[in-house]
Amino acid sequence: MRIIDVLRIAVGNLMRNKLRTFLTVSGVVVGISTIVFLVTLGFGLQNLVIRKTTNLEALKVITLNSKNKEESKNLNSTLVQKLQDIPNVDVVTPSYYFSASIDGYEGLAPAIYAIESGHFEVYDLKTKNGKQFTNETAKEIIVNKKLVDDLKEDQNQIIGKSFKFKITGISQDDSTKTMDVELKVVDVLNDESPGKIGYSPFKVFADTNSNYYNIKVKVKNQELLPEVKKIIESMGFSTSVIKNQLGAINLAFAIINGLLGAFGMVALFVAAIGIFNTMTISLLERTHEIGIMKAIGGRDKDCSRIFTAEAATIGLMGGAFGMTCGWGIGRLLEVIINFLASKAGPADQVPGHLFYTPPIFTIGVVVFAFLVSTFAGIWPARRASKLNPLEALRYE
Amino acid sequence: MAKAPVIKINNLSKKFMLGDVEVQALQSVSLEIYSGEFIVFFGVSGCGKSTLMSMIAGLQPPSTGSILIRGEDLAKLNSNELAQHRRTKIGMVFQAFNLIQTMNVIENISLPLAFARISKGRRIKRAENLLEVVGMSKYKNRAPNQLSGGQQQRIAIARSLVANPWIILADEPTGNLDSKSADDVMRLLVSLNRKSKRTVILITHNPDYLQFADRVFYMQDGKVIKVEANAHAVTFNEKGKSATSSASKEDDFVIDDDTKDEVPDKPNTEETKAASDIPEENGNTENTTGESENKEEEVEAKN
Ligand SMILES: Nc1ncnc2c1ncn2[C@@H]1O[C@H](COP(=O)(O)OP(=O)(O)OP(=O)(O)O)[C@@H](O)[C@H]1O
Ligand SMILES: [Mg+2]
Repeated sequence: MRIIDVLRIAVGNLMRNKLRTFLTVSGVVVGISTIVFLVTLGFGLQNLVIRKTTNLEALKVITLNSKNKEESKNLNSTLVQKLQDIPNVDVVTPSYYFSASIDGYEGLAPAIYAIESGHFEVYDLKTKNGKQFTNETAKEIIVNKKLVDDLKEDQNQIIGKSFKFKITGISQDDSTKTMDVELKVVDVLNDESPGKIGYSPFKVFADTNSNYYNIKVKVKNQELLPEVKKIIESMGFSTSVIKNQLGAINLAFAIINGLLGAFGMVALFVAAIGIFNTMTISLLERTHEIGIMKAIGGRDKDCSRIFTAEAATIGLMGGAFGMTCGWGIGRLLEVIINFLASKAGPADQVPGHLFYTPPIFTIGVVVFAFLVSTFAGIWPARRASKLNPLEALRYE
Repeated sequence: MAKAPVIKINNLSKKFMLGDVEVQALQSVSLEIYSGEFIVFFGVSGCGKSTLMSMIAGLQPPSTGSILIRGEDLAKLNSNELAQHRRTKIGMVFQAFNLIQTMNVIENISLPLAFARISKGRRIKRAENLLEVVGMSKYKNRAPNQLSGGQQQRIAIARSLVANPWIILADEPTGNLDSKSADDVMRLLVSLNRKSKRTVILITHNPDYLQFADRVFYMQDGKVIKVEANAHAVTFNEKGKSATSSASKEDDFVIDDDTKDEVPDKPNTEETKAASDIPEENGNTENTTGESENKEEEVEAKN
């Protein structure tokens, strides 16, 4: 029998029992839409977390650390030059790290990072007013919120004020050597760090005899990062990338998605039992019909294929509708939540996309529904094919 | 007769186990049936007629003995080949009509051709021709349960003919019919045998029908106890019945289908068209069905 004829008969049978077909397909729709809803929510939240916790620029950055004093000696301007020559490297920028004290503020010991102006994105720094340093050598400082608080200042009032800093640890040879410098606050960092931190222009400390604290390398795009990282590591440096944390986030969500998917799977399993049940009842009803088919020349295979095709059709319909329903419910919920959030709070609290449906997942789910249904139809189909036509013809 | 038999049955026995009780449905039956014969199996209920017929159709295997159809032992066929045997060599007609209720008339008739992988267009065309032959063209889109018993049986006969089988097996085809419908059905079967020389095997309880047979096999307790040849088997019209039914006109039984061009001319010009239905007479099995069948088996081989 041709596939087209098998399908014709199968679809004809499904159409004849519209209510039963509808109910069975509904079972699959519920199962599949549950899976789709939960898993796309998982994917969506994963993306949301990544979006809100890491900026995309930061994902292009490799940091060269120094584990000890020996290594830190190698982090120098020659190395910066060498790193610059690696293909696909966009920016190479070193930084200093000092501890400091402030005139008139007993016991306050902020950390001072000296960084190159113009590369704030490499450090994932965002200032309240969007200011950077006036120029490379400007005696300026950008302070974080915690430091503002400890200076007993207001975040708006502090801008423009100068403080006298005593910088320590400016020489690799003489640890007692210090440097006095008056720095003007140009902006406040938008951060929640518990440490007291200030950022100043790199060149202000160019005369010191200090080692670099680290060197940050920004690659041209994210995909190139592993390649560049490998090259740097082959040069004997230890590196760190923010991707490592991303891996942890992804892992956590892989587990969450798996659990959500498993919940949905329970629903689909129930649907599969429904298909099995429907096909078995259908088989019992059509025993006579199958007997006739065999008596007039239908092969065992033809009979089983009709049943398999029916189960598969149920699965395909359930998969397609379920996919659409799950997606639709997610979309609706997303619109509602975003609407409520935009009414209730500031714009940056609106979550945006909560559901994410990867294209592969779309196809995968429909294929999955198809496979599960076909599987549920195997046993009834086998029974149809093994049916003794004489027994079947006696059912009159 | 010098001719080889269409059906050759050797020492055939069939036992059934009903719990611990052994039922001997057939006992050492041997017989030969030749091409174009009209055979009647006659005997009381339970003597094994239906059992014998279902075994000729390959629906159940013998306990001992063998059945050869044109020299081919059914025991050597696998389940697919047996299905093909039923599809291409056997047309079955039952007392209970056995039409598929979920399909309309035209779908029922053409179903065997669907199993033979013949395209829908050709199937429908062939089925429509046969509908005309059995005088049922008006009813082609009816569901079987919207037809009378006699009409359903005519549809069933059309279905049995659709794949050009060598042998028609009719198991009490008139058993559920009133006498008028029964006459229509018998007229069809007889005409089918006389006009297109098909081998017809009829099981009946009605002694009136014995006169149509070339030979009658009398059965009792699973054995053939007597064979009676009838040199002057009557056809329906000779009986002088009121020939009112459209099916009674013998010329109506000519099957005018699209296979006629593919069949070599035969001396018997009157029967040329219908003769396309007799692959056994010219040994040409490459008819419509045969061709498609080969294609089907190719496809099967790949699976
Ligand atoms: N599947 C079976 N299991 C057990 N016994 C069977 C089976 N099929 C047939 N028989 C027995 O075999 C014998 C012959 O049965 P069969 O149906 O061939 O009779 P029949 O001649 O066709 O009778 P009827 O004229 O009533 O149709 C009966 O005794 C019947 O009970
Ligand atoms: Mg019987």
